[in-house]
This record gives sequence, structure tokens and C-alpha cells, in this order.
Amino acid sequence: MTDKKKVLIIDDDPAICESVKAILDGSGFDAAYALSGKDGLEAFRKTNPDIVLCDMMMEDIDSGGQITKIMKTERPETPVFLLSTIGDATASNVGLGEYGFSGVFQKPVNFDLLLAVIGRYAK
Amino acid sequence: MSVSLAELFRREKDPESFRRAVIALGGDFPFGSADMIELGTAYFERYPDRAQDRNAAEIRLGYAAARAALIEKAVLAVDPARREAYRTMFDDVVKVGPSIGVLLASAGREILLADHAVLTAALAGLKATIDEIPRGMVKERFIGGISNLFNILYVIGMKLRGPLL
Repeated sequence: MTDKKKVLIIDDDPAICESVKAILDGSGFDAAYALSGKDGLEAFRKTNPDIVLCDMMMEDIDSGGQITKIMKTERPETPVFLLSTIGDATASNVGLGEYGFSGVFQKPVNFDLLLAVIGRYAK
Repeated sequence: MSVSLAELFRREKDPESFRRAVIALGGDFPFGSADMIELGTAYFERYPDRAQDRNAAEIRLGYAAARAALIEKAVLAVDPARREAYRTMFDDVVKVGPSIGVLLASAGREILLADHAVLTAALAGLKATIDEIPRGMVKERFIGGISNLFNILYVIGMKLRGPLL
């Protein structure tokens, strides 16, 4: 039985998923990933993660937003962070509150910051 | 005069042959923001994007094409003897552990920490060039492309700093 916090990464780029998982696993988390919004939602329901890191543009241009709304409805206590490629405009234009994101990390992600932030949520 | 990446992309039949052709250039190709935009334009001519029901495989080819070029420019920062090892690691994060083990045995930790510093600077320079691209799907592919290289460099740093080997 592990007491590591489970992080679900949802991103359509397998290379990104693998590298983020390597960083999280190496930092004491138990990371898993899904490669589409649809698969991500299924993994969310099956694995009950403590934290979710979610891309926005996957099978649809706003897949991340769509599934985050659903995840936050089903388990509002689970923090969901947006991993964004769009730039600074995302945080204001996408509407973190509208979708229910707990925060946004711009790609390339500053992992010192990300680990500090999700570390606080993991306590 | 070296060939432009856009010409190369249009000439090669698939992204894997494009990647091999880029590697063969040994980093000798123009790669300013205008060149990135041209490469992105060539990519979208072959693989148009759309807002709904997007083609994940084609999107990944875009990240791969961007990465092929970014990696070749980044590895110019290190000694030619170690470029293939870094190319291998940037291609696949799973290779980081074994490759760093081999490099530590041959070059030592101090050299690799210096490599890490110059690669960080090289990626930062490439990111600054990407930042000059107007917001849109070409920029998105390049941001997606370089993000994974930063991630892998972070993993390399973890390996160099910690007892993970």
C-alpha cells in the first residue's frame, strides 16, 4: 500500500506525458497519464487521483475545459491544473473560473514551481 | 547555402525521413522565427488542423517535426563527442537514466553539469525565438515541441543531482 499522492496527467502528446510522469515519479508522486480528454475522464473516474494536470487542446480545441467542468462537478475537491501552450492570454481568456481550473502552468512548465504548488495540495 | 527546413519538409515523404534529413544537416540551417513559421506553414499544408475531432497522430507529427529541428540546434551547445547521447535523451526520456550513466563514467559529473547549464541556455534562446512567432497553431506546435525538451533537461538535472542512477 503506497501513501504517494496520485497525479493524473491528461495530454495528447505522449512525449510530454512520459517526461512529466518521470519528473513527478522522481519527486515522490505516483503519476499516470491519459492521451485524450475522453480517456482522461475515464481514468479520472477509475483511479480517483489526488491531483489532475490537464492540457486544453486535445481531440477538440477545448477538450481540457470540457472535461474539467465534468471532473469538478463529480469531485469538486480534486484540484485540476491547466497545462497551457497558448501563452499568457490563456489564464484571462480561457477563464479559469468558468471551467473550474485551480491554476494554470504555462508550457514550458517551471517544475520547481509546479512541484511546490502541487506539494501544498498533496498534504 | 543550407536548405531551409520548410523546403526539406516539403521534399521528404514523412516526418521520420524529415528528422533524419535534419540530423544530417548537423545543425547547419537557418532557424529564426521566420524559418519556424515557414516550417509550420509547410507542416499545416500537409496536415491541416481543425477545432473539433482533431487528428492526434498528425498533431504529434507536428511536435516531432519541431523537436527534430530544436534538438539539432540545442545539441550544438555541447561537445560533439556527447551530442548523440543528448540527442538520444531528448528523443526519449526513458533513455535518460542509461545515457547519463554512460556519460558520467566517461566525462564525469562536473562536465555534465556544465553541459546542463549550456543546454539550458540554448533552450532558453530557442524559446525566445519561438516567443517572436505570432500566437496561433504554428507557435503552439513549437511550444509543445520545446516544452518536452525542457522537461527532459529537468529530468537530466534530477539524475545529476540525485542518487537516482
